[in-house]
Parts: sequence; C-alpha cells; structure tokens
Amino acid sequence: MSTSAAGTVDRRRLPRDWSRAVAWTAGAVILLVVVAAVFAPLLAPHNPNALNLNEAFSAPTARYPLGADASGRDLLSRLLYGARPALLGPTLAVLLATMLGTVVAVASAWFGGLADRVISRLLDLLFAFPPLLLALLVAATFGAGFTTSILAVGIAEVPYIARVIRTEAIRQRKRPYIEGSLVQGLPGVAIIWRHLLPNVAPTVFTQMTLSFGYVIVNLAAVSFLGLGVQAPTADWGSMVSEGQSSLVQGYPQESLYASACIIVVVVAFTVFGDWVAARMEARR
Amino acid sequence: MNDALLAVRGLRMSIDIPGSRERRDVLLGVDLEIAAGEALALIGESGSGKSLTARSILRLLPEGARMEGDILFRGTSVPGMDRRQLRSYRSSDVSMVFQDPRAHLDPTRTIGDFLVETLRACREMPRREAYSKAVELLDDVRITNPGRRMSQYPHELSGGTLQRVMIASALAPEPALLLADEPTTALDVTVQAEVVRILTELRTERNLAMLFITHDVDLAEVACDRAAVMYAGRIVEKQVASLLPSSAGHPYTIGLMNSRPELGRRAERLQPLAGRPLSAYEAPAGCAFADRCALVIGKCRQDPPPPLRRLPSTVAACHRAEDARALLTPATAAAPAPPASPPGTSATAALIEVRNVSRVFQARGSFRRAPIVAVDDVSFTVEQGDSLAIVGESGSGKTSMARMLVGLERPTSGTISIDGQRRHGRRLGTLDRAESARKIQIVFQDPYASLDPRQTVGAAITEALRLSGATDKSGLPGRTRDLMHLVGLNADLADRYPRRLSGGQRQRVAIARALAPEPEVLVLDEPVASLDVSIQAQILNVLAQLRRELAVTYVFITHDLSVVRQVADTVLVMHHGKIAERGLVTQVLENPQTDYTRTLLASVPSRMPTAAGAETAGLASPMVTDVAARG
Amino acid sequence: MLVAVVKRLTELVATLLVTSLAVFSSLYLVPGSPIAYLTRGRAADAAAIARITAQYHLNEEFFPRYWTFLSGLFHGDLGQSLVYNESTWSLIEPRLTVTLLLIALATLETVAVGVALGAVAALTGKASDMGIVIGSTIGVGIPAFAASAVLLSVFAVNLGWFPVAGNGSGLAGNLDHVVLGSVALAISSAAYMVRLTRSAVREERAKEYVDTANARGLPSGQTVRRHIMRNAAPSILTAGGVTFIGIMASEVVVESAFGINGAGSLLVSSVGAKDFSVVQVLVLMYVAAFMIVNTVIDLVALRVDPRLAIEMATR
Repeated sequence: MSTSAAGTVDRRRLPRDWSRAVAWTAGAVILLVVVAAVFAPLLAPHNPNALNLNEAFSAPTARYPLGADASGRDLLSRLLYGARPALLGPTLAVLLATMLGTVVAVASAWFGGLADRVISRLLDLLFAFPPLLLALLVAATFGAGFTTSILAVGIAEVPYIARVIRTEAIRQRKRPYIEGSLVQGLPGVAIIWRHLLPNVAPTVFTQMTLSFGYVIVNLAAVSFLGLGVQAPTADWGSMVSEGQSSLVQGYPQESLYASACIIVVVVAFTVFGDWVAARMEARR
Repeated sequence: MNDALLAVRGLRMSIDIPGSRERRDVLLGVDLEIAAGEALALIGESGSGKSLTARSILRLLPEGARMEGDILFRGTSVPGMDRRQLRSYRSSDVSMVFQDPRAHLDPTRTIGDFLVETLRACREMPRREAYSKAVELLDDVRITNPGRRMSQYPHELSGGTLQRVMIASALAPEPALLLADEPTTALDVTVQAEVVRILTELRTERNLAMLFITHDVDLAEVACDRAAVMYAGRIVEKQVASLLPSSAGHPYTIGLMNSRPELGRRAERLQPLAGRPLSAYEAPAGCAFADRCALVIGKCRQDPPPPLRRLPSTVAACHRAEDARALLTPATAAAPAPPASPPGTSATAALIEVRNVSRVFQARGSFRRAPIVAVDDVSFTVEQGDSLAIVGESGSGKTSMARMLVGLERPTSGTISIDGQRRHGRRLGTLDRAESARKIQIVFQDPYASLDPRQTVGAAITEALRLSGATDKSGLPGRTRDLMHLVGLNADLADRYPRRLSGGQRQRVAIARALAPEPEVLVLDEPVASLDVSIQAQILNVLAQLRRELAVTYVFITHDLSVVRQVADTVLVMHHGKIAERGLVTQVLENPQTDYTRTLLASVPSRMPTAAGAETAGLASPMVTDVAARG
Repeated sequence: MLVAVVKRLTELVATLLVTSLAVFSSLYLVPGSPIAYLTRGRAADAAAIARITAQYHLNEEFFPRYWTFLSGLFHGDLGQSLVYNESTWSLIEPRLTVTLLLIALATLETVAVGVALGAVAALTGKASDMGIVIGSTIGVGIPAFAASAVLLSVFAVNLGWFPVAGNGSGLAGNLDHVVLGSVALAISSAAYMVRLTRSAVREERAKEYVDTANARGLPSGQTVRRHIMRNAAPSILTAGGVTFIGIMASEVVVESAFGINGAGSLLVSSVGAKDFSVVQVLVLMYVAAFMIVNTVIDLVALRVDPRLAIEMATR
C-alpha cells in the first residue's frame, strides 16, 4: 500500500474497478447495436423482406447464418434491420418525454403554488395511463403505426421523468444561490436558464438513460401487439409476435432471437444508466 | 488510574472513503479518563475528531472505520466485546444524546413508542410498567403535560422538547456515563440554557458521568468539571474547565478563546486565527497547529508533534506552552463608543422604513387550524449608516423580516420602503427587483448553498457586477479582482469552483457578490452561524472593515448576543413575531427593559454560573494539574 | 387525518370523472366525423347510420351525451358492441375471471419476491447484494412478451408441463393456463420491485434514527422491522402501485402470447376491429382499477407515516 498525502493511503479495491468494467461493457454493447442499425444494409447478407418459401424454418446454414423464419426470410438480416426501429423509436420517444417532462417539471417547481398543484394533478392523471394502454387508446383513435406508437409511449413516459426532475428542481429552487440571484435582480428566465437548469441537468441525463430501457420495452410490446411498426418492416417486437405461431409448432428461433436482442439491449441500457446514476450521486 | 469509569488509551482511527480508494486518518492517538460522576468537555472545531472519539466509546462507527488502541469501561475492553455484551453495554451502561434530535427520532413512531421501546430494551418489563415509567422520565426532564406527549409524533414538537425526550430516553436505563454530542448546538439559546441546567441537575442527582462535546468554550465551563481540547485528531490541552480562561497553555485554546466576541464589550478588531481548522489527515509533519500559530518556531515543524506534558498550571501539547501565557491577555483595544443618539431622532428620512408589517401564513388543509403569524404588526426605521441587529430565537420572525426586506417574501399587510422605493403586498416584478438590487442585498447563512456549484466564484462576482448595470465589459475582470481583494480573498481563487473553497472563503465570495451592485443596505442572515469559531472572527472583522470603508448600512440577523455587541449599534429584539425591545446596543444589553431580553442575556453561556469545580476550589496550582492530568 | 382521507377520496372520484370524460371525448378527437369513424369499413346504409346516431346520441350536444353515457354506466348499461350484436358487458363478463386471476397471481408473485429480495439486498452483505442487483438488472430487461416466448417454448411446447393456449375451464383449469403467463409478467415486475425496495431500504438504513436505535442497544432485527421497514413502507407501497399498473398493462400482451381469451385480448381485438364502445368500457375499467388500487395504497401509507396526512391534506 502506498501513501499519497500525509495521512491517506491508497487501497486497491476490486469492486470499484469491476463496476466500471461492467459499465463499459454495456456501453460497448450499445455501440455495437448502433453500428448494426446504421450499417445494416452493409452487414446483412440478404434483403430482410425477401421471401423464399423453400427455405422456411431452415436451420442455421452458411447462407442463412441464423436460419430463416416461416416465410423463408433470413433471420440475421431481419435482426440487423430490426435494430433500426429498436433504437430510433426509443430515441425519439425519450427525447420527446424528456423535453416535455423537463419543461413541465421546471415550470412546476419554479412557479409553485397553483401552477404546481395543477401540473402535479395532470401528471397524476397521466400516471394512470401506462404506456401500453395509452398506445392502445391512441391506436384505436388515430390508427396504428410507428409514429403514433412513439407519441403514445413518449407521452406516457413523461410523468415518470417529470416527477424525478420536479423533486430535484424544487430542491435547487429553494437553495440560497437561486434566491440570491433573485435579489440580484436577475430576471426569472435568466435564473432558470443559467443557474437552475445546469444544476438540474445531471438528474435529467440520468433519467433519460434510465428511461431508455423502459421505453424500449414498451415500444417493443406495442409492436408485439401489432400496433407499432407495421409488417413487413423488420422489428424485434413484431418478430417476437410473428414468431409466436412458429414457436408453437416447435420452431422458436424467431421469437427467441428477437427476444434475446431486446433483453440484451435493455439490460445494457439499464446497467449503463445505473452507473451514470451512481456517478452523479457520488459527485454530490 | 485504575478506578476510572472510562479510560481511552491510545485511540487511533482511520476511515475508508466511499467512492474512492483513499483511507484517511481521523484520530492520531487520544488518551482520556472519566471518573464516576464527573463531566468532561471535549472541545474542538470541525475535523478535530471529537465526535468520532465519543462514538467509538459506543462502537457506533461508520463502515470502513478501523480502530486501534483500547477503550476500557470499568476495566472491560469495549472493542473486545461480543455482540451480546455490546448490546447490554449500550442499553444499560453508556448512553448517547446526539446533535439534531429531530433527525435522530423515527418520524413514524410516537414519543411513547420510543421511550417504551428503550425501556424494554434494557430489561424485561410489561408494557404498562414501561409506559408509566416513561411518563415519569418525561417529568424528570421537565416536559409539561407528559401524558399527552406520549402520544405525539416528533414532527409535532419543538427541537427543545425533542432533545429533552432524547435525554429522557438516554437516562432511562440509569447509565453510568452519558455521551452528549453537541446536544444544544441546534437549539435556541434559552432552550440551551434550560437543557444544560437539566443535565447538571440530573447528573448530581444520579452521580452520572458525562462526556460533553462542544465547540463553545464558555458552555464547557458551565456544564463540565474538566475539559480536553482537540485539534486535528489529537488532544492538545487538558485543564479544569473553569480555569481555562485564566490558565490555558496551548496557543490553539487561547486563540479559540480570544477569537470570540464578548458580550461585555466590543473589541476594535477581533483576533481570529488565520487559516482554517485541519483534520487529522491534512496535518503536516510536526505540530498540526504550526501554520496558524502565533508562537511558531522551526522546531514546531521539524520535530515530531509535541506530546502532552505537565506544566505549572495546565497540561498542554506545545513546545512553547510556557510562553503561551502571554497570549492570554489580548491586546485588542476596546472599540470607540458607538453613536450616542438613539435611533429615529435624526431629521433626515430613514433609509429603511417598516410600517405595520405583518406576515401571516394560512394553514391549508385543515378546517380548524389557526393561521400562523410569523411577523405581527412590526414597525421600525433604520437610519443611513446604522448597523442594526435583529435578535431572536426560532419562531421570532427575524428571518421572515429579513426576507421581506429584500423582497423574497411579501408582507401580508403593511409597507416596507427602502431608500424611497415602496413595496406593498404585490409580488416584485423583474424591473422592481432590478431597482431593488441596487438598494439592498443579502448574505445568507449557509456558505455551502449560497453559491451556484456550477459557476466559478469569479464568474459569480462578475455576473453580479454586470447585473448592476456595468456597461464597461473590459473593466469587469479588474473590478472582480478588486472586490475579491476587498473581502480579503486572493484573486487567484477566481477560477475555482465553490467546492474547492472553505466555508469562510465561500462566505467572503457571497459578501463580495452582495456588494457588487454597491447597495445602500446589506442584510446578513446569520452569516457566521455555520462557520467554525476561529473563522467567525475573520468574517466579522471583514464586515466591520467593509462598513468603515464603504459606509454601507447593515441589518444583521443573529441569535448570538455577543455578535450583536461586536457588530451592531442598534438592536431590535423579536419574540413571537413582535418587537420586544429596541434601542442602542449599549443600553439594551446593559439595561434590558423586558423580561424576555433579560432571559436572553441570562442564557448566554458566559453569563451562566460555571460548574462547581469543587475539587479544585482552593487547591494550590500543582494539585490543579494533577486533576487536569488525570483525564 | 380525516381531512387527508376525505381529500384523497374526493380526488379519486374527481380523477375518475375526468378520465371518463377524456376517454369519452377521445372519440371526438378522431379526424373526420364520428359517424365516418364508427362506420369505417362497414356497411353504411341509412338504417345503420340511424342506429349508430341513436346509440351514440350523436344528434345531441356534447355534455348531454356525456351525461347519458355516465348515467348509463351507473345503470349497468355499458353500451352495445359495434361489431358483435351483443351488449358490451356480455362480451366482457365471461372473460373477466381469467384476466383477474392472471393479474392477481402475477401481483402476488411480484410483491412476495420483489419486496423480500429487495430488503435482503439492502440489509445483508456485499455478496448477496451484488448477486441480487445483477439478477434484478437482468430481470428488468426481460419484458413480459419476451419471457412469454421463452417460457412457452420451454415449459409448454417442449416439456409439456403446461398447456400451450386457451383458457381452460373452471378455476383449476384457469389456473393451469395462467401460471406461465403470471411468471412471465412477474419477472420484470419483480425485478423492478427489487430495485425500488432496495433503494428505499438502503436510504432508510443510513438515517440517523437508526443510529439512535443502535446506541440504545436495540437488537438489529427489531430495528429493521420496527423502524427501517416501517419508514421505507410508503416508498415501497408507491412502487407497488406503479408496478401493479405495469402488470395490468402488460397482461394484455401476455394474453396475446399465450392465446388466453381474456379481457386483455378482447381489448386488443376491439382496437383492431375499431369496436369503440368496447374499447371505451375496457379502458375505463382498467383505469378505474389502477386508481382504486392507488388510492388504497395511499390510504395505507397514511397509517404508516403520520406526516403524510399533513402533506395529503395540504395538496
């Protein structure tokens, strides 16, 4: 053990290095998926929508590295292309939810009083509509589709994000440095922009990362029900549901591979998000 | 000494810092003894290790703390106890009372639940018996209406009552030793006096020994027989408590005592200690106090830290303890007498006019609850150039008053005008606030929350300058530097973030920022209450100097009457939202007109009777050091 | 305390009303005229239009329509299905048992496993904590439909321990069909509960009143039960409420995966078939269920932490 400053001693501690290694692995997985999505046309051996009934249900071969589905479409290609909506959808939904959630939460925290109470009530109302249900309702009203599912899931995620941000924003709002700025004569908007938001930002980023995992799951579930990405576009969620009938017949590949993809990505985001959250906590 | 109740021998401790790989030293070798029935004060500032010393007696240490040395209770080694013995020890022999009673009580349990549980933890007894015993205990600590309190929750009671409940629960098992970790720091001064009185009574009744941790030397004299002073993880002095003012031998102890403002007179300039108190792991080689010491010589830094040694009149750890005596009589002159004219008599219009101001909070959510009146029909004026202190305890309305003066809260009724700008009940708009910013500014109590953690201190000051209408952009850095120098800060610090500065430095930044718009009035809401004693004096000196140089008017909110004497010319005493008394500081403090003011004055520790150091009364001085050396 | 309870119940009623209004009016948000929407894809002869107009009171003003709708609800008249020639209730009613069973079983599993493991993780040593954290991080990433696929494939198709699809008859039969589905639901829900319980208990464990309990020599088991868990209870209960909502929503997916003909699959098929009156009623039922459960949770939390009474009364 070495001595740094007088009175301090450096310890090697395994758990700490361990958690960072895990987090970076998760980051690498995410990067891999992003690469797969962006470069799918280059990486996929076949057109994901190319039908070839002769090869239906084929086991993994050189031509079809992961086998084929009920209509003979190459599973590997479909999985690679499926990474696109799997990432694009949640990104848009999370961005939507974060922007709305932050605006609402900060407004609620800043103005307080009646505005806060009304907004809190509205958020409570929104809490009662889980993403899936809202997506169903939206689909019933406006029709199914990728865009509507993103809107529905994004809006349904708002209360979860907003609640955490609001708590943090209120905490910062009450601190003397904000009050000091008021007394200094700084206009409210400037205080929010220059002082409140930067201090709330770490919480916002943490929530965004954590939300990603949940949103991926919700969107995939919506697609599973046939209300999101429409056939024949390759999407992991719809692949799980399309593979349902094959599964019952004894060919579970499509459902299982697609499920595995979803699980891996969500776990990666959760692990990464947890690590980010822990770092933010430690900084405090 | 084998008959000591508690003996701490060579206690060293280091702590793992979570989230990093460091292990820090926090105690560097502590030796203490407490005899049955005796009270020992452990005096120190932040980082001294006093709290950890006490907690180690009960083995209440954080995870990752490693301890060496021994602690002996009636001859039994505490670190060596197994879990069963430890539980029995904790529930029957030694008890502890903590600093913040509200945080230390389970909010979901009633006071009765808490006491009954404590009683039944130390011995088997049926609930009914425990219940009535609990009521008796509440009575012992002079809680009114004890039966009713039993079914109340912590959030329904005041801090003073809660602390008494804590004491009651600590005394339930009739322990031999009570550890009190700054038990009164979070309480109002009158409540503090009451709690100290209760403790002293109970101690004599039950022959209870006590370890009393505090940063307040006066309080130590009042509550304890002997005192040990700690600095950077070591004990630097041991002395009979009541003899500290006359016979202290360590420069730190003397410096600590000298830096306090006195209730009896105003010093022209306080004598702070330079720098800030260190923790054990920050201590350089040699004597930890060397960098702050007025008597430092080469030996202090080169040789190993001096051990405690017996001197003619004290026991101290200093190479130059004999010469330290010279420091005991401070050379500070008394300040010139403040203006003799009572307030409100000058012909010019007052700078601040407060007329019939009230602040009433509506209690929402309950049909029957009465509204809370924080400030009740208060009127006063402040002349230009005056320094007004607003004194009160919690609930007096002084903080509300301060916030209303700067516009952070609106009066429910009445008007406030600052330098002609009238303010009524409406919320201040941006333009109003900008105008008000040039007239009145505020410095808050908490130096750690007063600055934006994401802004460098230089940027914070520059922002304040810009807001005050400075149009010359190129001149800003220069003006920022000037402001920093004005408050005694090195301009190099401008690029640092607040977390890299000490509490005293942050408070200086806050003052600089408040002065940037060149306001007429500076409101200071307990600006030194959260700082270490040796640093308080630094800030008070800076404020006094600024007042002389800038001719700014102060409104000083505080609960500490000695600070009032030091900084203010006029004083306003508030009680339950009303003005109890008003007048010149010299008059009010020397000749109080109301009972409340009298009670306040009598509660100041330096005015309270010191603990009967019966053992030392009439002893020749060598025998005094016998007593001192014992602990 | 009473004030808080009354306020909370009033909130419940108010929220239910607002939600029913929201659901009711979503029909009118649809682009184009309601009639066009309601008859899209179906024969639109004059008789059909007249029937729909009468059923939905489309020739009346908005609020009288809403009132008719509401009063209809109270009288047990939940409207007519647009697709089937039956009343909405007769479509829903037989499917309720299996759905309720699925939800109840999943909730039970989630709460039992979630709270227990979460508490264990927070209170015991590093090794078990880490193991449970890893397990729950992975669990959160296993959504109900993915778990369904795996469970179905392994336990039903390959091992044949459980039936592959359908409802089964009678309570025992229902149970048999629902078990796998409940596990599929419970995996990610329990993982979520573990995480929230763990963080709530960890937070409480670090609080100062635990110091006091230790200093007074209280046995650690007692400290945990009587103090830590009690203080963590409101957060855990709230987490339970959120998880319950998640279960209710995801069970729709599970019904689809396991071919269970319950209220959930009725909802999905009605959405697809644009049978709006059925969708409306089902959505309302779901939302009402969440809200009632949440209100019950809030009221229970009140008993635990007396400060909540003040907070609730002043909201």
